[in-house]
Amino acid sequence: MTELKESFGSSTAMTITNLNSLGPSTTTGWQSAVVDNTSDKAIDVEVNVILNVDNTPPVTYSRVYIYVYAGYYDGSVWKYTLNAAGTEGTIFLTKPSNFILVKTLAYMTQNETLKSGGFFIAKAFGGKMPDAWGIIIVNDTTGTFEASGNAVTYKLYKEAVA
Amino acid sequence: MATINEAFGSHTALTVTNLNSLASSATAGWQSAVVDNRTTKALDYEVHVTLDMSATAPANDKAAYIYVYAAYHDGSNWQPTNNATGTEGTITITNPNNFILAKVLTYQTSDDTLKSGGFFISQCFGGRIPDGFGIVIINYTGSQVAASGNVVAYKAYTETVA
Repeated sequence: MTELKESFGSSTAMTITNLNSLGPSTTTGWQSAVVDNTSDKAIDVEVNVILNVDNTPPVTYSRVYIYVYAGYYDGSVWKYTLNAAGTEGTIFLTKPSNFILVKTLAYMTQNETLKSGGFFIAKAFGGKMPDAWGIIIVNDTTGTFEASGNAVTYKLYKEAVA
Repeated sequence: MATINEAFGSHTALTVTNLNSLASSATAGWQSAVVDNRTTKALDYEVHVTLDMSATAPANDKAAYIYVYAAYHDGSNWQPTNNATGTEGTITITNPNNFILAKVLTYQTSDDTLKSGGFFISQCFGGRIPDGFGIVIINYTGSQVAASGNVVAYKAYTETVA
């Protein structure tokens, strides 16, 4: 008799050049580079986000919104959700946004470092992983993210029969 | 044709030193030590909570709140959700907070013993288990938790293929 168990890959840090020092905005956020899952073939991905907010007091409904975008590969060209580019940088979002919201972090304490703990991507897509995916972060806290101390990391998730 | 069956590990009680005698509070609660799943690789965890309340009439929210925190391991360190530390003790939360609410136990009768029955951790994470997780309990029943008789326990869940 064999047993089905979790199996994680190693922790990978995303490039966050434009996430560092990201100011507050309801419409201008950060997008990660796309993560191509066509080779990885992971059945899910565990993501961790750490955001070091500067010394600005929170106001009512100070929040960070974490969205995901999908990448569809048609055999020759990548098609990303809405205006996601697939490369790390800033992104303009409408409000409300048509990206899929996966996590909201409340900013409740001045100078707080927000830590998501691990959360998973596939639930945003009904339990399956698209060809590729990426993260979008909107800083609606009134504070600015510090120039360092931020991180967006992930691990590929599979299941193993042992 | 192979059959997939449930397989539960043994009953494991978490340390509840600081849960015993926990006073009623909207913000001051208890946190468990992190449960490390990196070796166990379980697909889920069944958790059970028993809170033996003191003989004080229900007040405040007349409820105990059971939250879950995630812990992402970056290869060197644990990264738990927000101000969770990964060690058993007390914790102060904000309202709202960034933990995931898994269960609410209502306190309707003085001196009642609140029993959650079994519930599963993966429901908080889209059907998966992160690298580690822990429990946060906020007792806002109006009554103090008794000095003994309290239990927070779990069983690892895997599946067998036979």
